[in-house]
Amino acid sequence: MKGHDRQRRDGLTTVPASFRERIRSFLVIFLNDLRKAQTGLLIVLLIYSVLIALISPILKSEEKADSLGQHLQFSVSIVDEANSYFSELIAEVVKDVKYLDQVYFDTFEKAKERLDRNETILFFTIPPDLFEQTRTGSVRESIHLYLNPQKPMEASAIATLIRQYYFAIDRIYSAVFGYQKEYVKLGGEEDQSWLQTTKHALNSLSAYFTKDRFVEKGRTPDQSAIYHALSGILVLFAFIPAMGVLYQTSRLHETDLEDRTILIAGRISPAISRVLIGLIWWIALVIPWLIALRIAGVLETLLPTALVLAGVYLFGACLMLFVGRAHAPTVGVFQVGWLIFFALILFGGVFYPTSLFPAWLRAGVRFTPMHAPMEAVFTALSEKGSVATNNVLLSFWAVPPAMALGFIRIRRRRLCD
Amino acid sequence: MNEGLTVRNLRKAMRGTEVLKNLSFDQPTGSIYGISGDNGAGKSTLLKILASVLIPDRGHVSFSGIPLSDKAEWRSLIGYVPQELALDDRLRVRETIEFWAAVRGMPVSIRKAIVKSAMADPLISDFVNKPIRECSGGMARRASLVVGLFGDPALLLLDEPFSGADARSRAMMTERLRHLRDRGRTILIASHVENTLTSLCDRVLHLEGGHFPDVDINAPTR
Repeated sequence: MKGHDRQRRDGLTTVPASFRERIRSFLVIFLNDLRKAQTGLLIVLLIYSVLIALISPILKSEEKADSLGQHLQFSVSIVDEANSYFSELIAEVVKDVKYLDQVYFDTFEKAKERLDRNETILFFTIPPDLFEQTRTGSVRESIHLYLNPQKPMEASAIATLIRQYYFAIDRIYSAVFGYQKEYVKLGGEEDQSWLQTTKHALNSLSAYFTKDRFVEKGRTPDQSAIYHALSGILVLFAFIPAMGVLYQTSRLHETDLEDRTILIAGRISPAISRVLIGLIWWIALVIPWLIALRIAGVLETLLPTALVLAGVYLFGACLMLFVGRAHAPTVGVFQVGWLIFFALILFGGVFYPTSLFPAWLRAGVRFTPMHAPMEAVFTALSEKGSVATNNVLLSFWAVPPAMALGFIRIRRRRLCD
Repeated sequence: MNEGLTVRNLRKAMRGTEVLKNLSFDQPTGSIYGISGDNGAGKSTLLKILASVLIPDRGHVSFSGIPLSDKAEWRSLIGYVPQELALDDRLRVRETIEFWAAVRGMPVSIRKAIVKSAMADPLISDFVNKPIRECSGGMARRASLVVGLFGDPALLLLDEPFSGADARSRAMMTERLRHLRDRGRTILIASHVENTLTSLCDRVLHLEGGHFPDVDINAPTR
């Protein structure tokens, strides 16, 4: 008597034989696993919904404030017939004014034309003898402001701001150049003395005005800390569902329930079902974060980051399929799994940037499986979501070996497979 | 011998200890055999090998001419009721039956018919809506047996099927097993409760030292 012949005769099957039966069998296992996970998933989604509902108004109000700021953008023209260094200097200063987005260097006629066309809020002229006036300690205001009559309030406010800047510059400039006359008197060689003292004075002035530039560029470490923390959270959340795979695998490993399931459905279906349930957890834990970051404007595109994080999960899930089937007590297997988890995230630079590690360790951790994904996610957050394709691919390097390990373990011939 | 279950020179060592040593026996179709022995004698190991859960180190096993090594064919012949309940205790009995019927990949129409028939089975019909976790030991054992009987297996392997079962459940289960035997099914039961085996089985084999000392494979079997 052939088993399959008997099945056809009875209209029954003791095990799924055809491809269609196997698919049906897999779907039943998957839906059963999903049903077990549904309460947890619903709780997580509920928590996320509440969090997003709380955070969204804040994000939206910030977005609104930004768009308001964008509407209050004005331009100014500078008329500097002598094309002096001072005009460039003041332009740099004026550009730092929040509501000014464009500074034109125009002729008087052109600047007036812009003002008439309502292109600019104001323009101001810098006299050719500005340096001379400053050197002689002139008390009259050297720059002349022409305000846009259509926007008197705004123009007045910006003019006040520019005048404040001008007076500050004037005072500093006077102080710096005040000694020049004395130096020329003492030096004898007038042209050479003027050249040297002017050069020195401008360098001093430039150093003064650019003294904050270093600090401004130095804002990067603050942003890095935030982006690093965000990257770490995303990588952690992407990996955690893999620990669920470990839990389910080790809990059932070598139990009679597993034996009964495997005898009927085979080994592959329950393993794939577990990985897919983990993937659903991954979606629930990671995607809302990505969407929130998209709303906040940190990420302009989600796909590269999502791909990298999916790779993190896939690597973790396959690795945990392997670990979960180790021949050891369940508690022991679970502890080993967590140990591996912590080692991976520690050496991947998830807790602390690897740049803080000693040099000898830094060289080694570059080759740990979480390092490349962590770097890729960090880059994505820093670069509005864009990551070079080769970096995305690099973050997947550990997935094939992990899949091989997981598959070997699934297929391991403890049973008669 | 092509008919029935044939086991020859079966050996299995686990963690360095030889659990089964050159074990041999024959069982004709349409019979109930019992395997008795002390705890740790190797009864469950034998049944797990016959269920194709464990791989033997050596030996030959066949049933109706189909070797154990032909996994797909073998598994289509057997029904296995493991020592533990091996049921999801969060499910109701009805859901358990539906789940294990569905896992076999049957089309919905056949599945529904089987589930309907199983629901009417006297073994479980009076508690189908009860969650497994709320079932008594006997009820859960009966549900586990019904799951093992899906597909009407030709060879039924039962590991301690009466463990935790009350007298009524034992009586219902033994009655069902006798009925199956009369329909030509071959049943092998491992249990350390020898008096139940004696009253139910056609023959009881005592497992001792990894083999059956009282089995002579050259002698004719019933």
